[in-house]
Amino acid sequence: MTKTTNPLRFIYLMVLILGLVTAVDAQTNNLRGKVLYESHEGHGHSEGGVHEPEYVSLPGAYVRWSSAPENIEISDGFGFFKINSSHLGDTLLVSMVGYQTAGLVFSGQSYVDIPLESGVSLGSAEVTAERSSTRISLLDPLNIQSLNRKELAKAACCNLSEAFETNASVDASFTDAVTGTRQIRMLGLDGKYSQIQVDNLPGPRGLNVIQGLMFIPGDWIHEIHISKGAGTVTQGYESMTGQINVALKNPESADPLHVNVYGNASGRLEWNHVSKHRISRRWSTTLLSHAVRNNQLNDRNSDGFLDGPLKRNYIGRNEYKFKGDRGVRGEYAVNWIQTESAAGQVAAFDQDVPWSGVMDMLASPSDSGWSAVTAIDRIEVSAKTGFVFPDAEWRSIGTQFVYSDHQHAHQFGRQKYTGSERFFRGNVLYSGILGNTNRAFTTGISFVSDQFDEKVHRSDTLSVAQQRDEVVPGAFFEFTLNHAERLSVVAGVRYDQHNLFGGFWSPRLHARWSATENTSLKLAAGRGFRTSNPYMEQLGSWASQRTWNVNVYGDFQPEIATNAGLNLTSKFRLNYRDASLALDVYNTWFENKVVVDLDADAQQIRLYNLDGESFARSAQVEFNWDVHRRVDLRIAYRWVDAQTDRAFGNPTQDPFVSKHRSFVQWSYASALSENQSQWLADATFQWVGSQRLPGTDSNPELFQRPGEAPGFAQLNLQATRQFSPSFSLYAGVENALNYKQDRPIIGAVYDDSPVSASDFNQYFDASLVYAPIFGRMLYAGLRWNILPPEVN
Amino acid sequence: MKYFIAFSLFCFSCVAFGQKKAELTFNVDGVCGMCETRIEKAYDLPGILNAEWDLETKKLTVAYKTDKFSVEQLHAIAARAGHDTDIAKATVQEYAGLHGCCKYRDGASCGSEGHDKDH
Repeated sequence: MTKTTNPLRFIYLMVLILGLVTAVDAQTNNLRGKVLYESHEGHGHSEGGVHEPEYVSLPGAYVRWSSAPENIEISDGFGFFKINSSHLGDTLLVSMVGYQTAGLVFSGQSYVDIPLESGVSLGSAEVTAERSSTRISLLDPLNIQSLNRKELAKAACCNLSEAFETNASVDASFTDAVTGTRQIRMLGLDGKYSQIQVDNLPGPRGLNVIQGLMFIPGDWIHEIHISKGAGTVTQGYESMTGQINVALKNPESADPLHVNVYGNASGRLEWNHVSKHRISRRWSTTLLSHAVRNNQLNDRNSDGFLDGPLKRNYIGRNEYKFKGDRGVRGEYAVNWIQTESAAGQVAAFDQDVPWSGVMDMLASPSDSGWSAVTAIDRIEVSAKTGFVFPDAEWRSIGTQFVYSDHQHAHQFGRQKYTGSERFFRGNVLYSGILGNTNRAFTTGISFVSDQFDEKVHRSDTLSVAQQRDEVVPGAFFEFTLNHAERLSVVAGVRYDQHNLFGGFWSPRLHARWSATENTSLKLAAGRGFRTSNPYMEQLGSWASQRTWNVNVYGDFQPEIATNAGLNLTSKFRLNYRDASLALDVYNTWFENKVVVDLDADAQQIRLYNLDGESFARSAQVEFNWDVHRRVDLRIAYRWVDAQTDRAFGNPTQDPFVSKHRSFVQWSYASALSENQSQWLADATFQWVGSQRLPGTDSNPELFQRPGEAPGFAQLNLQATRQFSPSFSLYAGVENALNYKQDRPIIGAVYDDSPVSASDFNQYFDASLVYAPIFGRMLYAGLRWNILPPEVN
Repeated sequence: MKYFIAFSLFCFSCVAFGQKKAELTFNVDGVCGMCETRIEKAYDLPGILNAEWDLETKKLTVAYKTDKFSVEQLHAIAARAGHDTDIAKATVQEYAGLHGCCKYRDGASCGSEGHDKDH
C-alpha cells in the first residue's frame, strides 16, 4: 500500500486545470452561443426539493453587435448561433418578438448562453432576491433544512465534516485527539445511523462512513439538505435518524470557474477548484479538484503529540450531464480519492524525512514514538439516467447505479488494519400518478452487493480476519397524497431480502398539515436497518492501546431502529421583520444495536449485540430572525437523552453526548455598494453541556480522567470582504475563547510528570475527546469565480 | 408556542425597541425588478425598519419609527429616488436619472414578471 508521492503532483494538478480552463476560454474568431427561454413552470419536485428552472431553446432569435447592428445572425432550430467576434466591451444584442431584448457585454468569451425573459423590452440588470442562507419549507412533508453556499461560507468550512459547526441539528466532534478526524451526530446518535447521500446516491457509508465526510470538499458543495426522521424508502433501508443529502456543484449550478485557496496557522494549505465546460448541445461537464497538504510538525500544547496530522490528499471528480431533447437526462460521474496522513508523537517523525519516508511507517512503524499512519484509495463511479414521458410528464423512469472500490490501510502504534470494500447498488424507479397529480407514486426495485474484507494485525500477528459478502435485493413502493394544499402525506414501504440476515420490512410515513398559511406541523415515523462495521465506525478507538474485544457474545446482528418525531414550524413577523420558530421532538428506539462498550475495561473496546433497551430522545428549538436589513440572528437549543443498556451494569447513558447544546449566531452583511462590494461578518457562540466519559477509574491516578466532562463555550468569528461577486477574501478565528480540553491524551506527558514506556504501552488513550484540543486558530483564504455571462 | 412567540415579542419590544413604530402602505410608481431594488434601497435609512415594494400592486409597505419620519417625508423619499407617489412627485431631473426601462411616465414596461419572484 505504500506509495511514493511525487511532491510536484499538487503543482501538476494546478497547471493541468488552469491549462484546461485557458484552453477552453481561448480566444477564437467566432462567438458561439445559445438563446434560451427560462421557463419557471417546470413541474416537479426535482432532486432534494430544489426547484430548477427549465431552459427551452429559442430558434429564430436575432443576434447582432451594437457596433454593427446591420449584420444580423439568426439562431438555428436549437437556439444556437455563431457570430464573428467583436472588440472587448462591445454589446451583443439578442432580441425576439414576445421576449425582452437582452444585451451582453463582450469580455472575450467563446461561448455564451443567453436566456431571454418573456415580455416586451428590458435593459435591466438581473436582480436576484437575497435568499436566506438556511431554508425550511413549510410545504414539504419531510422536515428538510437546506443550507446553501452562503450558509456554508460562514464556517471555515474545508470539507463536509466541518460544515455543521453552525447547525443545531447536527453535532460535530473529533473522533480522537490525534488524527484530526471528525464525526457527526444527529438526534443524539452517531452519524452512521443517518443516511448520507451525495447527489441522491449513497455517500459515506460502509468502511468510509466516518472519513467519507472529509472527502467532500466544502467548495464542491452547492447545497446541503438535512432531513430529520427516517426519510424516503426509495433510497434504501439504511436511514434511521435522518438523511443528509449533499448536492455537489453540477453543470447547472456551478459557475464557469471557481477557485479557492486556503491556509491556516498550523500549516494546512488547500486548493479547490470547480469548473464547468460545455461539450456539445446535449453534453456538459464539471471538473472538480481538491488538494491538501500539511507538512508542518506542530506541537503547540507541548504534549509530545502532533496537533494535527501531516497530510497529502488528492480528490478529483468529473461529472458529465446529458440533456436530450426527448425527455432523456443523464448524470455520469467518476470520483477519485487518494489520501495519506500521518499523526502521532513528534518523536516518531523527522522533519527532514521525505513524504515517502513518512508513508513507509505504514509498513514499519517508528521505534522512537507512537504513530498513526493512514492511506486510503477509493474510486467511485455512478450513473443516473432518467426518462420523462414527453406526452405525460408526470410519468418517469429512472435508473441509478453506483459502484465503489474502497481500500483502507492504517497502522496505529503496533496495530494494523487493512480493509477493502466493493459496493454496488442498482436502483430502478418508476413514478406515475393515480388519477390526478395529487396522488402520485414511486415504485421500484433495488439490488445491493457489498463485499467486505478486513484484517487486523497486532504486532505483526494476524488477530482478526473477516470477510462478509452481502447481497440484498429489494423492492419498494411509495405513495404521495396532496390534499387541498393543507395536507400532504408520503407513505412508503420497502422489503429487502438480506442473504445473511433474512428479510426486512421498512415502513415509513411522513405527513404535513398546514394549520395556517404560516404554520405547519410535520410527522415522521419509520424503521430502518443496517449492518455494522465497528472497526471503521469506531475509528477513534484505534488511537489508544485498547484491544478489540469483538464477537465474544456471538456474531453481530444487523442494527434495527424505529424513529418517530414531530416538527412544528411557524413563520411570522417580529418588529416588522421576518422571523421563524421551529420545534422538534424525535425519538429513536433500537430493536438491536451493536453496543460499543468502553466502560467495561479501560484497556478494551467491547462490542456486542444489545441485550436490553437503547433509545435516544431529542428536542430542539430554533429561532431565526431577520433583525435588521443587515443583521440576522439565530438562536438554537437542543436537548438529547441517549441511553443504552450495557453488559455488567455499566452506566446506561451514552458517552460523548452532551445533554444540552445551544448556540447564538449573529450575521452581518453591509449594504451592497455600486460595484457590488460588501462586507460580511459572522459570530457564532456555542455552548456545549457536560458529557459522560468512559470510566478510567481502574487506571493508576496519573492515567485517570473525570467521568464527567465539564460544559464549555466556543466562539467562532469570521469576516469576508467581497470586492466583487467574483472575488473575495476572508479571515477568521476558530475557538476564539481558546477553550482546550484538559489533558486530552492519556499517556502523554503533562505537567512534567514522566510516563514510562511500559505505562504508555498499557494506558495510552487519545480517544476520550469531548472538546477542542487546540486553542485559538487563525485562518485566511480567498475565493475567486468566473461568473456566468451577465445579461444587461 | 403562541405563548413563546408572545413572550419573545414582549421581551424584544420592551428592551430594544422602546420608540413608537408604525407601518404605512402607499402607491409608488415603477415598472420592474430594477425599480423595486432602487425603491427599497432608497428606504435603507436609519429609522426605517423594513420597506417592501410589491411589483404587481405597485404598493410600498414601510415600517418606520414615528419620531424619525413623517408621512410626507416617507413619500418624499420615493420621489427623490425618481418614483412618484400619490402626494409626492419626482422632479424632471430626478425622473431623468432613471434607467430607460424604468421610465414609468413614458409607458415603459418590462412585463409583469420580476426576475426575483419565487414561483
